[in-house]
Amino acid sequence: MLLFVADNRPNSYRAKDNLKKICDQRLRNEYELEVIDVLEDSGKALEYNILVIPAVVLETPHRATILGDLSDPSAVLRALGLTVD
Amino acid sequence: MAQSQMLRKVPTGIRGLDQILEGGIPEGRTTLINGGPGSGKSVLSVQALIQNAENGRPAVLVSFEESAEMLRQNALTFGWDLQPLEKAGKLIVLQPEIDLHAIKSGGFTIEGFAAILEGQAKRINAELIAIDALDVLMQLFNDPIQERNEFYLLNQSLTKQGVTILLTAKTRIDNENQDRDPFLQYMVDCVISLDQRAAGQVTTRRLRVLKYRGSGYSSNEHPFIIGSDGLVLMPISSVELGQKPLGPLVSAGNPDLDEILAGGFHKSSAILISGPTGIGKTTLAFTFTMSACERGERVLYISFEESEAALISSMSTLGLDLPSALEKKRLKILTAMPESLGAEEHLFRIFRERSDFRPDHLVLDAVSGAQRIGSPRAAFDLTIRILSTCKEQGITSIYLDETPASEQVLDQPRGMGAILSLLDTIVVLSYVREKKGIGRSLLVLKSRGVAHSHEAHPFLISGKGIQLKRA
Repeated sequence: MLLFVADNRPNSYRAKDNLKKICDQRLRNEYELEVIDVLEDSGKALEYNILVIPAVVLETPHRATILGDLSDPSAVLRALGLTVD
Repeated sequence: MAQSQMLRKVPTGIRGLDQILEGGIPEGRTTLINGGPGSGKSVLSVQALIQNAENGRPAVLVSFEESAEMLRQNALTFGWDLQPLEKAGKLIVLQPEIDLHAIKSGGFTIEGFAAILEGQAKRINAELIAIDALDVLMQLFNDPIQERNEFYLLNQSLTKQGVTILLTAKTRIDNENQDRDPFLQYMVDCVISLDQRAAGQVTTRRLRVLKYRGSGYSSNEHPFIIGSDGLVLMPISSVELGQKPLGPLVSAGNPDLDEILAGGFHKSSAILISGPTGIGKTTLAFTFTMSACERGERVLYISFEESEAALISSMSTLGLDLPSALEKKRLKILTAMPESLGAEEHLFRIFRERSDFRPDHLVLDAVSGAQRIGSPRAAFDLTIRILSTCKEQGITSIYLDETPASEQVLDQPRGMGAILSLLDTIVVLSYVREKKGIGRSLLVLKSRGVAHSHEAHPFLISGKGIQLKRA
Protein backbone atom coordinates (compact mmCIF):
# COMPACT_ATOMS: atom_id res chain seq x y z
CA MET A 1 0.00 0.00 0.00
CA LEU A 2 1.02 3.56 -0.56
CA LEU A 3 0.46 6.42 1.81
CA PHE A 4 0.45 9.89 0.34
CA VAL A 5 1.21 12.73 2.71
CA ALA A 6 2.69 16.16 2.87
CA ASP A 7 5.46 16.20 5.35
CA ASN A 8 4.52 19.12 7.50
CA ARG A 9 0.77 18.84 7.85
CA PRO A 10 -0.87 17.74 11.07
CA ASN A 11 -3.34 15.47 9.36
CA SER A 12 -0.42 13.71 7.75
CA TYR A 13 1.07 12.88 11.15
CA ARG A 14 -2.30 11.64 12.26
CA ALA A 15 -2.66 9.51 9.16
CA LYS A 16 0.77 7.98 9.66
CA ASP A 17 -0.02 7.21 13.28
CA ASN A 18 -3.44 5.82 12.59
CA LEU A 19 -2.20 3.69 9.76
CA LYS A 20 0.63 2.36 11.85
CA LYS A 21 -1.83 1.43 14.57
CA ILE A 22 -4.04 -0.46 12.16
CA CYS A 23 -1.13 -2.22 10.55
CA ASP A 24 0.44 -3.24 13.86
CA GLN A 25 -2.81 -4.46 15.30
CA ARG A 26 -4.27 -6.29 12.38
CA LEU A 27 -1.70 -6.94 9.72
CA ARG A 28 1.37 -7.77 11.74
CA ASN A 29 4.14 -8.07 9.20
CA GLU A 30 2.11 -8.91 6.19
CA TYR A 31 2.18 -5.56 4.49
CA GLU A 32 4.33 -3.28 2.44
CA LEU A 33 4.05 0.45 3.03
CA GLU A 34 5.50 3.21 0.96
CA VAL A 35 5.19 6.77 2.17
CA ILE A 36 5.22 9.44 -0.49
CA ASP A 37 5.52 13.14 0.14
CA VAL A 38 3.50 14.85 -2.60
CA LEU A 39 5.53 18.01 -2.34
CA GLU A 40 8.60 16.04 -3.29
CA ASP A 41 7.14 13.58 -5.74
CA SER A 42 4.17 15.24 -7.38
CA GLY A 43 4.55 13.00 -10.40
CA LYS A 44 3.57 9.98 -8.38
CA ALA A 45 0.65 11.86 -6.89
CA LEU A 46 -0.54 12.59 -10.41
CA GLU A 47 -0.04 8.99 -11.41
CA TYR A 48 -2.36 7.81 -8.67
CA ASN A 49 -4.78 10.71 -9.05
CA ILE A 50 -4.17 11.91 -5.54
CA LEU A 51 -5.85 15.27 -5.24
CA VAL A 52 -6.34 15.44 -1.54
CA ILE A 53 -4.10 14.29 1.23
CA PRO A 54 -3.63 12.28 3.25
CA ALA A 55 -4.68 9.38 1.13
CA VAL A 56 -3.95 5.71 1.18
CA VAL A 57 -3.90 3.58 -1.92
CA LEU A 58 -4.39 -0.10 -1.21
CA GLU A 59 -3.38 -2.64 -3.77
CA THR A 60 -4.75 -5.76 -2.11
CA PRO A 61 -7.24 -7.31 -1.76
CA HIS A 62 -8.57 -4.78 -4.32
CA ARG A 63 -7.25 -1.49 -5.51
CA ALA A 64 -8.89 1.10 -3.30
CA THR A 65 -8.24 4.68 -2.33
CA ILE A 66 -9.09 5.97 1.09
CA LEU A 67 -9.06 9.68 1.68
CA GLY A 68 -8.43 11.25 5.03
CA ASP A 69 -6.37 10.95 8.17
CA LEU A 70 -7.85 7.53 8.89
CA SER A 71 -9.31 8.54 12.21
CA ASP A 72 -12.14 6.19 11.45
CA PRO A 73 -10.47 2.76 11.28
CA SER A 74 -13.59 0.85 10.27
CA ALA A 75 -13.48 2.23 6.74
CA VAL A 76 -9.88 1.13 6.36
CA LEU A 77 -10.53 -2.31 7.80
CA ARG A 78 -13.46 -2.86 5.51
CA ALA A 79 -11.38 -1.90 2.54
CA LEU A 80 -8.73 -4.38 3.67
CA GLY A 81 -11.34 -7.08 3.92
CA LEU A 82 -10.94 -7.42 7.61
CA THR A 83 -13.61 -7.57 10.24
CA VAL A 84 -14.34 -4.51 12.26
CA ASP A 85 -13.94 -4.98 16.00
CA MET B 1 -2.26 47.85 -0.23
CA ALA B 2 -0.26 50.35 -2.23
CA GLN B 3 -2.16 51.33 -5.33
CA SER B 4 0.76 53.24 -6.69
CA GLN B 5 2.05 50.12 -8.39
CA MET B 6 0.41 49.55 -11.73
CA LEU B 7 -1.31 46.22 -11.84
CA ARG B 8 0.37 44.04 -14.42
CA LYS B 9 -1.92 42.22 -16.75
CA VAL B 10 -1.81 39.13 -18.88
CA PRO B 11 -3.66 39.52 -22.18
CA THR B 12 -6.17 36.82 -23.00
CA GLY B 13 -5.64 37.24 -26.71
CA ILE B 14 -9.40 37.15 -27.20
CA ARG B 15 -10.56 39.90 -29.52
CA GLY B 16 -12.58 42.48 -27.62
CA LEU B 17 -12.06 40.95 -24.19
CA ASP B 18 -8.72 42.56 -23.52
CA GLN B 19 -10.28 45.93 -24.30
CA ILE B 20 -13.06 45.29 -21.85
CA LEU B 21 -10.48 44.26 -19.24
CA GLU B 22 -8.27 47.23 -20.12
CA GLY B 23 -5.32 45.03 -20.91
CA GLY B 24 -6.07 41.55 -19.67
CA ILE B 25 -6.45 39.47 -16.54
CA PRO B 26 -4.38 40.32 -13.46
CA GLU B 27 -0.91 38.80 -13.45
CA GLY B 28 -0.10 36.52 -10.56
CA ARG B 29 -3.66 36.69 -9.30
CA THR B 30 -6.80 34.65 -9.73
CA THR B 31 -9.54 35.26 -12.24
CA LEU B 32 -12.82 33.41 -12.05
CA ILE B 33 -15.02 32.73 -15.05
CA ASN B 34 -18.45 31.64 -14.00
CA GLY B 35 -21.61 30.81 -15.79
CA GLY B 36 -24.15 28.12 -16.47
CA PRO B 37 -23.55 24.97 -18.49
CA GLY B 38 -22.68 25.61 -22.11
CA SER B 39 -22.03 29.28 -21.52
CA GLY B 40 -18.55 29.11 -22.98
CA LYS B 41 -16.38 29.04 -19.86
CA SER B 42 -14.15 26.19 -21.02
CA VAL B 43 -13.72 27.65 -24.47
CA LEU B 44 -12.74 30.99 -23.01
CA SER B 45 -10.20 29.49 -20.64
CA VAL B 46 -8.66 27.20 -23.22
CA GLN B 47 -8.53 29.98 -25.77
CA ALA B 48 -6.78 32.34 -23.36
CA LEU B 49 -4.38 29.61 -22.41
CA ILE B 50 -3.48 28.70 -25.97
CA GLN B 51 -2.98 32.32 -26.94
CA ASN B 52 -0.52 32.67 -24.12
CA ALA B 53 1.21 29.35 -24.59
CA GLU B 54 1.82 30.22 -28.23
CA ASN B 55 3.21 33.58 -27.26
CA GLY B 56 5.83 32.75 -24.73
CA ARG B 57 3.85 32.04 -21.58
CA PRO B 58 3.91 28.30 -20.87
CA ALA B 59 0.72 27.08 -19.30
CA VAL B 60 -0.88 24.21 -17.47
CA LEU B 61 -4.44 23.26 -18.22
CA VAL B 62 -6.32 21.14 -15.72
CA SER B 63 -9.69 19.81 -16.67
CA PHE B 64 -12.03 18.19 -14.24
CA GLU B 65 -14.77 17.87 -16.75
CA GLU B 66 -13.40 16.63 -20.01
CA SER B 67 -10.87 13.97 -20.72
CA ALA B 68 -7.58 15.15 -22.16
CA GLU B 69 -8.47 13.50 -25.44
CA MET B 70 -11.86 15.22 -25.65
CA LEU B 71 -10.16 18.50 -24.83
CA ARG B 72 -7.70 18.08 -27.65
CA GLN B 73 -10.43 17.16 -30.09
CA ASN B 74 -12.68 20.03 -29.07
CA ALA B 75 -9.77 22.41 -29.34
CA LEU B 76 -9.12 21.17 -32.87
CA THR B 77 -12.62 22.19 -33.93
CA PHE B 78 -11.52 25.74 -33.21
CA GLY B 79 -8.30 25.27 -35.06
CA TRP B 80 -6.18 24.93 -31.92
CA ASP B 81 -3.77 22.06 -32.01
CA LEU B 82 -2.67 21.25 -28.50
CA GLN B 83 -0.25 18.45 -29.30
CA PRO B 84 2.60 20.47 -30.84
CA LEU B 85 2.39 22.84 -27.89
CA GLU B 86 2.56 19.91 -25.49
CA LYS B 87 5.49 18.40 -27.34
CA ALA B 88 7.32 21.71 -27.32
CA GLY B 89 6.92 21.97 -23.56
CA LYS B 90 4.69 25.01 -23.75
CA LEU B 91 1.58 23.35 -22.48
CA ILE B 92 0.71 20.58 -20.06
CA VAL B 93 -2.76 19.12 -20.03
CA LEU B 94 -3.86 17.38 -16.86
CA GLN B 95 -7.00 15.48 -16.38
CA PRO B 96 -7.14 14.16 -12.84
CA GLU B 97 -10.05 11.96 -12.01
CA ILE B 98 -12.28 12.72 -9.15
CA ASP B 99 -13.81 9.78 -7.44
CA LEU B 100 -16.76 11.18 -5.57
CA HIS B 101 -17.46 7.79 -4.07
CA ALA B 102 -13.99 7.32 -2.70
CA ILE B 103 -13.88 5.93 0.78
CA LYS B 104 -13.46 8.66 3.30
CA SER B 105 -12.03 8.27 6.72
CA GLY B 106 -11.31 11.41 8.61
CA GLY B 107 -10.31 14.82 7.38
CA PHE B 108 -8.29 15.70 4.32
CA THR B 109 -7.14 18.76 2.44
CA ILE B 110 -6.60 19.81 -1.11
CA GLU B 111 -2.88 19.90 -0.63
CA GLY B 112 -2.41 16.99 -2.98
CA PHE B 113 -3.82 18.91 -5.87
CA ALA B 114 -1.84 22.03 -5.09
CA ALA B 115 1.33 19.98 -4.95
CA ILE B 116 0.60 18.30 -8.26
CA LEU B 117 -0.01 21.65 -9.88
CA GLU B 118 3.12 23.11 -8.41
CA GLY B 119 5.17 20.19 -9.59
CA GLN B 120 3.78 20.26 -13.10
CA ALA B 121 4.06 24.02 -13.40
CA LYS B 122 7.72 23.86 -12.42
CA ARG B 123 8.42 21.36 -15.19
CA ILE B 124 7.74 23.93 -17.89
CA ASN B 125 8.11 27.17 -15.91
CA ALA B 126 4.44 27.79 -16.42
CA GLU B 127 3.19 31.32 -16.00
CA LEU B 128 -0.45 30.51 -16.36
CA ILE B 129 -2.64 27.78 -14.90
CA ALA B 130 -6.21 27.21 -15.95
CA ILE B 131 -8.50 25.00 -13.88
CA ASP B 132 -11.62 24.05 -15.73
CA ALA B 133 -14.65 23.13 -13.64
CA LEU B 134 -13.40 23.89 -10.16
CA ASP B 135 -16.89 23.17 -8.89
CA VAL B 136 -16.35 19.50 -9.71
CA LEU B 137 -13.27 19.39 -7.51
CA MET B 138 -15.14 21.16 -4.74
CA GLN B 139 -17.73 18.41 -4.65
CA LEU B 140 -15.22 16.30 -2.75
CA PHE B 141 -15.93 18.45 0.25
CA ASN B 142 -19.55 18.24 1.23
CA ASP B 143 -19.35 20.99 3.75
CA PRO B 144 -19.56 24.59 2.47
CA ILE B 145 -17.28 25.85 5.19
CA GLN B 146 -14.66 23.30 4.36
CA GLU B 147 -15.03 24.12 0.66
CA ARG B 148 -14.33 27.72 1.41
CA ASN B 149 -11.29 26.95 3.52
CA GLU B 150 -9.90 24.53 1.01
CA PHE B 151 -10.36 26.95 -1.82
CA TYR B 152 -8.63 29.61 0.21
CA LEU B 153 -5.66 27.28 0.81
CA LEU B 154 -5.52 26.36 -2.84
CA ASN B 155 -5.64 29.96 -3.95
CA GLN B 156 -2.92 30.87 -1.48
CA SER B 157 -0.53 28.16 -2.50
CA LEU B 158 -1.02 28.78 -6.21
CA THR B 159 -0.63 32.54 -6.10
CA LYS B 160 2.41 32.14 -3.87
CA GLN B 161 4.20 30.81 -6.91
CA GLY B 162 3.49 33.98 -8.86
CA VAL B 163 1.47 32.11 -11.43
CA THR B 164 -1.57 33.71 -13.06
CA ILE B 165 -4.63 31.61 -12.45
CA LEU B 166 -7.77 31.23 -14.48
CA LEU B 167 -10.62 29.27 -12.94
CA THR B 168 -13.90 28.26 -14.36
CA ALA B 169 -16.83 27.26 -12.21
CA LYS B 170 -20.45 26.51 -12.90
CA THR B 171 -22.67 28.81 -10.96
CA ARG B 172 -24.37 26.52 -8.52
CA ILE B 173 -27.76 27.71 -7.45
CA ASP B 174 -29.43 26.24 -4.42
CA ASN B 175 -33.11 25.69 -3.81
CA GLU B 176 -33.76 29.31 -2.98
CA ASN B 177 -32.09 30.48 -6.18
CA GLN B 178 -29.11 31.76 -4.28
CA ASP B 179 -25.54 31.36 -5.43
CA ARG B 180 -24.12 28.44 -3.48
CA ASP B 181 -20.55 29.58 -3.71
CA PRO B 182 -20.50 33.32 -3.15
CA PHE B 183 -17.17 33.00 -1.42
CA LEU B 184 -15.47 32.19 -4.71
CA GLN B 185 -16.25 35.63 -6.02
CA TYR B 186 -14.99 37.29 -2.87
CA MET B 187 -11.71 35.51 -2.82
CA VAL B 188 -10.58 36.11 -6.36
CA ASP B 189 -9.39 39.34 -7.90
CA CYS B 190 -11.33 39.31 -11.12
CA VAL B 191 -14.71 37.81 -11.97
CA ILE B 192 -16.05 37.37 -15.48
CA SER B 193 -19.58 36.11 -15.85
CA LEU B 194 -20.91 34.40 -18.97
CA ASP B 195 -24.58 34.18 -19.74
CA GLN B 196 -26.53 32.38 -22.38
CA ARG B 197 -30.12 33.13 -23.26
CA ALA B 198 -32.22 31.49 -25.92
CA ALA B 199 -35.00 33.37 -27.69
CA GLY B 200 -36.54 31.32 -30.42
CA GLN B 201 -33.77 29.88 -32.53
CA VAL B 202 -31.19 32.37 -31.49
CA THR B 203 -28.79 31.96 -28.63
CA THR B 204 -27.59 35.26 -27.32
CA ARG B 205 -24.43 35.12 -25.36
CA ARG B 206 -23.32 37.89 -23.08
CA LEU B 207 -20.22 38.52 -21.04
CA ARG B 208 -19.98 40.82 -18.09
CA VAL B 209 -17.07 41.70 -15.84
CA LEU B 210 -18.46 41.62 -12.32
CA LYS B 211 -15.33 42.59 -10.48
CA TYR B 212 -11.74 43.58 -11.14
CA ARG B 213 -9.77 44.52 -8.09
CA GLY B 214 -7.24 47.20 -8.73
CA SER B 215 -8.28 47.99 -12.27
CA GLY B 216 -10.81 49.82 -14.35
CA TYR B 217 -13.02 47.77 -16.59
CA SER B 218 -16.16 47.98 -18.66
CA SER B 219 -19.08 46.90 -16.53
CA ASN B 220 -21.54 46.62 -19.38
CA GLU B 221 -22.96 43.45 -20.80
CA HIS B 222 -21.16 42.59 -23.99
CA PRO B 223 -22.62 40.30 -26.57
CA PHE B 224 -20.29 37.70 -27.98
CA ILE B 225 -20.33 34.75 -30.29
CA ILE B 226 -18.47 31.49 -30.27
CA GLY B 227 -17.24 31.29 -33.80
CA SER B 228 -15.20 28.84 -35.75
CA ASP B 229 -12.03 30.11 -34.16
CA GLY B 230 -13.22 30.73 -30.66
CA LEU B 231 -14.82 33.54 -28.74
CA VAL B 232 -15.26 36.91 -30.36
CA LEU B 233 -16.56 39.82 -28.37
CA MET B 234 -18.30 42.91 -29.52
CA PRO B 235 -17.11 45.58 -27.14
CA ILE B 236 -19.62 48.14 -28.20
CA SER B 237 -22.64 48.34 -25.99
CA SER B 238 -25.83 49.68 -27.49
CA VAL B 239 -25.44 52.90 -25.57
CA GLU B 240 -22.11 53.65 -27.18
CA LEU B 241 -23.44 52.70 -30.58
CA GLY B 242 -25.88 55.54 -30.71
CA GLN B 243 -23.15 58.03 -30.02
CA LYS B 244 -20.58 57.04 -32.58
CA PRO B 245 -19.55 59.92 -34.80
CA LEU B 246 -20.54 59.68 -38.45
CA GLY B 247 -18.15 59.75 -41.34
CA PRO B 248 -18.13 62.08 -44.34
CA LEU B 249 -21.08 62.28 -46.71
CA VAL B 250 -21.03 59.98 -49.70
CA SER B 251 -23.36 60.10 -52.65
CA ALA B 252 -26.45 57.91 -52.61
CA GLY B 253 -25.86 57.39 -56.32
CA ASN B 254 -28.46 59.76 -57.65
CA PRO B 255 -28.14 63.58 -57.66
CA ASP B 256 -31.82 64.17 -56.87
CA LEU B 257 -31.65 61.74 -54.01
CA ASP B 258 -28.50 63.41 -52.73
CA GLU B 259 -30.34 66.69 -52.71
CA ILE B 260 -33.22 65.23 -50.73
CA LEU B 261 -30.73 63.79 -48.28
CA ALA B 262 -28.88 67.11 -48.07
CA GLY B 263 -25.72 65.59 -49.41
CA GLY B 264 -26.08 61.82 -49.32
CA PHE B 265 -25.40 59.16 -46.74
CA HIS B 266 -22.77 59.42 -44.05
CA LYS B 267 -19.97 56.91 -44.28
CA SER B 268 -20.18 54.33 -41.48
CA SER B 269 -23.79 55.23 -40.74
CA ALA B 270 -26.63 52.73 -40.46
CA ILE B 271 -29.38 53.20 -43.02
CA LEU B 272 -32.76 51.58 -43.27
CA ILE B 273 -34.71 51.41 -46.51
CA SER B 274 -38.17 50.10 -45.89
CA GLY B 275 -41.13 49.53 -48.13
CA PRO B 276 -43.47 46.93 -49.64
CA THR B 277 -42.47 44.33 -52.14
CA GLY B 278 -41.53 45.56 -55.59
CA ILE B 279 -41.29 49.19 -54.61
CA GLY B 280 -37.63 49.63 -55.40
CA LYS B 281 -35.63 48.96 -52.25
CA THR B 282 -33.16 46.74 -54.02
CA THR B 283 -32.94 49.23 -56.87
CA LEU B 284 -32.16 52.02 -54.45
CA ALA B 285 -29.57 49.90 -52.68
CA PHE B 286 -27.87 49.05 -55.96
CA THR B 287 -28.00 52.65 -57.13
CA PHE B 288 -25.89 53.51 -54.13
CA THR B 289 -23.76 50.42 -54.58
CA MET B 290 -22.88 51.06 -58.19
CA SER B 291 -21.90 54.64 -57.58
CA ALA B 292 -19.74 53.59 -54.64
CA CYS B 293 -18.03 50.96 -56.79
CA GLU B 294 -17.41 53.53 -59.48
CA ARG B 295 -15.62 55.61 -56.89
CA GLY B 296 -13.40 52.61 -56.21
CA GLU B 297 -15.10 51.64 -52.95
CA ARG B 298 -16.00 48.07 -52.11
CA VAL B 299 -19.50 46.89 -51.32
CA LEU B 300 -20.54 43.59 -49.77
CA TYR B 301 -24.11 42.79 -50.74
CA ILE B 302 -25.80 40.13 -48.63
CA SER B 303 -28.88 38.69 -50.25
CA PHE B 304 -31.40 36.59 -48.42
CA GLU B 305 -33.89 37.00 -51.21
CA GLU B 306 -32.50 36.44 -54.66
CA SER B 307 -29.61 34.68 -56.28
CA GLU B 308 -26.71 36.58 -57.76
CA ALA B 309 -27.87 35.74 -61.26
CA ALA B 310 -31.39 36.98 -60.59
CA LEU B 311 -30.04 40.21 -59.15
CA ILE B 312 -27.73 40.80 -62.09
CA SER B 313 -30.55 40.20 -64.50
CA SER B 314 -33.18 42.35 -62.81
CA MET B 315 -30.78 45.22 -62.19
CA SER B 316 -29.52 45.21 -65.75
CA THR B 317 -33.01 46.01 -67.01
CA LEU B 318 -32.83 49.11 -64.84
CA GLY B 319 -29.53 50.25 -66.22
CA LEU B 320 -27.34 48.98 -63.41
CA ASP B 321 -24.38 46.94 -64.62
CA LEU B 322 -23.49 44.66 -61.77
CA PRO B 323 -21.04 42.41 -63.65
CA SER B 324 -18.67 45.29 -64.24
CA ALA B 325 -18.34 45.92 -60.52
CA LEU B 326 -18.15 42.21 -59.81
CA GLU B 327 -15.32 41.75 -62.27
CA LYS B 328 -13.36 44.61 -60.80
CA LYS B 329 -13.82 42.93 -57.42
CA ARG B 330 -15.44 46.02 -56.01
CA LEU B 331 -18.73 44.27 -55.49
CA LYS B 332 -19.23 40.96 -53.75
CA ILE B 333 -22.59 39.30 -53.50
CA LEU B 334 -23.13 36.82 -50.69
CA THR B 335 -26.31 34.83 -51.02
CA ALA B 336 -27.95 32.62 -48.46
CA MET B 337 -31.24 30.93 -47.90
CA PRO B 338 -32.23 32.08 -44.41
CA GLU B 339 -33.78 28.73 -43.55
CA SER B 340 -30.68 26.83 -44.49
CA LEU B 341 -28.55 27.77 -41.52
CA GLY B 342 -28.90 28.83 -37.93
CA ALA B 343 -28.49 32.46 -37.00
CA GLU B 344 -25.01 31.99 -35.58
CA GLU B 345 -23.84 30.27 -38.74
CA HIS B 346 -25.21 33.03 -40.95
CA LEU B 347 -23.40 35.50 -38.81
CA PHE B 348 -20.08 33.69 -39.09
CA ARG B 349 -20.35 33.47 -42.84
CA ILE B 350 -21.09 37.14 -43.03
CA PHE B 351 -18.35 38.12 -40.61
CA ARG B 352 -15.82 35.96 -42.36
CA GLU B 353 -16.71 37.37 -45.76
CA ARG B 354 -16.59 40.85 -44.38
CA SER B 355 -13.19 40.41 -42.81
CA ASP B 356 -11.81 38.83 -45.99
CA PHE B 357 -13.29 41.33 -48.42
CA ARG B 358 -12.95 44.42 -46.23
CA PRO B 359 -15.80 46.39 -47.78
CA ASP B 360 -16.42 50.10 -47.29
CA HIS B 361 -20.15 49.49 -47.32
CA LEU B 362 -22.44 46.58 -46.59
CA VAL B 363 -26.01 45.93 -47.67
CA LEU B 364 -28.36 43.44 -45.99
CA ASP B 365 -31.20 42.48 -48.33
CA ALA B 366 -33.40 41.94 -46.42
CA VAL B 367 -33.87 42.03 -42.66
CA SER B 368 -37.38 40.75 -43.19
CA GLY B 369 -35.95 37.78 -45.06
CA ALA B 370 -33.72 37.08 -42.09
CA GLN B 371 -36.84 36.40 -40.06
CA ARG B 372 -37.15 33.14 -41.93
CA ILE B 373 -34.11 31.97 -39.99
CA GLY B 374 -36.40 31.37 -37.10
CA SER B 375 -38.17 34.28 -35.57
CA PRO B 376 -38.40 38.08 -35.53
CA ARG B 377 -35.99 37.91 -32.62
CA ALA B 378 -33.51 36.07 -34.82
CA ALA B 379 -33.63 38.84 -37.39
CA PHE B 380 -33.28 41.45 -34.73
CA ASP B 381 -30.22 39.87 -33.16
CA LEU B 382 -28.59 39.25 -36.51
CA THR B 383 -29.17 42.83 -37.58
CA ILE B 384 -27.95 44.32 -34.37
CA ARG B 385 -24.77 42.30 -34.43
CA ILE B 386 -24.03 43.25 -37.98
CA LEU B 387 -24.89 46.84 -37.22
CA SER B 388 -22.72 47.13 -34.13
CA THR B 389 -19.70 45.52 -35.73
CA CYS B 390 -20.03 47.57 -38.92
CA LYS B 391 -20.18 50.73 -36.86
CA GLU B 392 -17.13 49.66 -34.96
CA GLN B 393 -15.27 49.08 -38.19
CA GLY B 394 -16.49 52.24 -39.89
CA ILE B 395 -18.44 50.33 -42.53
CA THR B 396 -21.61 51.93 -43.84
CA SER B 397 -24.49 49.49 -43.50
CA ILE B 398 -27.78 49.54 -45.35
CA TYR B 399 -30.70 47.40 -44.26
CA LEU B 400 -33.61 46.64 -46.52
CA ASP B 401 -36.86 45.80 -44.81
CA GLU B 402 -40.02 44.63 -46.48
CA THR B 403 -43.23 45.99 -45.03
CA PRO B 404 -46.82 45.16 -45.91
CA ALA B 405 -48.19 47.23 -48.79
CA SER B 406 -50.10 50.15 -47.40
CA GLU B 407 -51.20 53.52 -48.54
CA GLN B 408 -49.91 55.14 -45.43
CA VAL B 409 -46.61 56.82 -46.07
CA LEU B 410 -45.76 57.10 -42.44
CA ASP B 411 -46.02 53.42 -41.56
CA GLN B 412 -43.38 52.79 -38.98
CA PRO B 413 -40.99 50.11 -40.13
CA ARG B 414 -42.36 47.05 -38.47
CA GLY B 415 -40.40 44.61 -36.37
CA MET B 416 -37.37 46.82 -36.09
CA GLY B 417 -38.25 47.95 -32.60
CA ALA B 418 -35.23 48.95 -30.62
CA ILE B 419 -33.00 49.17 -33.67
CA LEU B 420 -34.79 52.31 -34.81
CA SER B 421 -32.88 54.48 -32.39
CA LEU B 422 -29.60 53.05 -33.60
CA LEU B 423 -30.28 53.89 -37.23
CA ASP B 424 -28.93 57.12 -38.56
CA THR B 425 -31.05 57.36 -41.67
CA ILE B 426 -34.47 55.93 -42.46
CA VAL B 427 -35.90 56.06 -45.95
CA VAL B 428 -39.47 54.90 -46.43
CA LEU B 429 -40.74 53.92 -49.88
CA SER B 430 -44.44 53.51 -50.47
CA TYR B 431 -47.17 53.21 -53.05
CA VAL B 432 -49.51 56.12 -53.27
CA ARG B 433 -52.69 56.77 -55.13
CA GLU B 434 -52.26 59.22 -57.91
CA LYS B 435 -54.68 60.72 -60.32
CA LYS B 436 -53.65 58.23 -62.96
CA GLY B 437 -53.39 55.14 -60.72
CA ILE B 438 -50.69 54.02 -58.31
CA GLY B 439 -47.38 55.81 -58.00
CA ARG B 440 -44.34 55.53 -55.81
CA SER B 441 -43.17 57.90 -53.16
CA LEU B 442 -39.96 58.34 -51.18
CA LEU B 443 -39.75 59.92 -47.78
CA VAL B 444 -36.73 60.48 -45.59
CA LEU B 445 -38.14 59.80 -42.15
CA LYS B 446 -34.93 60.77 -40.43
CA SER B 447 -31.31 61.37 -41.21
CA ARG B 448 -29.07 62.32 -38.38
CA GLY B 449 -26.91 65.33 -38.72
CA VAL B 450 -28.31 66.73 -41.96
CA ALA B 451 -31.12 69.05 -42.90
CA HIS B 452 -32.89 66.54 -45.09
CA SER B 453 -36.11 67.07 -46.94
CA HIS B 454 -39.25 66.25 -45.00
CA GLU B 455 -41.44 65.96 -48.03
CA ALA B 456 -42.68 62.90 -49.81
CA HIS B 457 -41.07 62.73 -53.23
CA PRO B 458 -42.70 60.87 -56.07
CA PHE B 459 -40.42 58.65 -58.12
CA LEU B 460 -40.48 56.02 -60.78
CA ILE B 461 -38.35 53.09 -61.79
CA SER B 462 -37.39 52.70 -65.38
CA GLY B 463 -34.65 51.45 -67.65
CA LYS B 464 -32.64 54.37 -66.31
CA GLY B 465 -33.03 53.28 -62.71
CA ILE B 466 -34.62 55.46 -60.08
CA GLN B 467 -35.88 58.76 -61.23
CA LEU B 468 -37.22 61.25 -58.78
CA LYS B 469 -39.88 63.40 -60.30
CA ARG B 470 -39.35 67.04 -59.99
CA ALA B 471 -42.28 68.55 -58.15
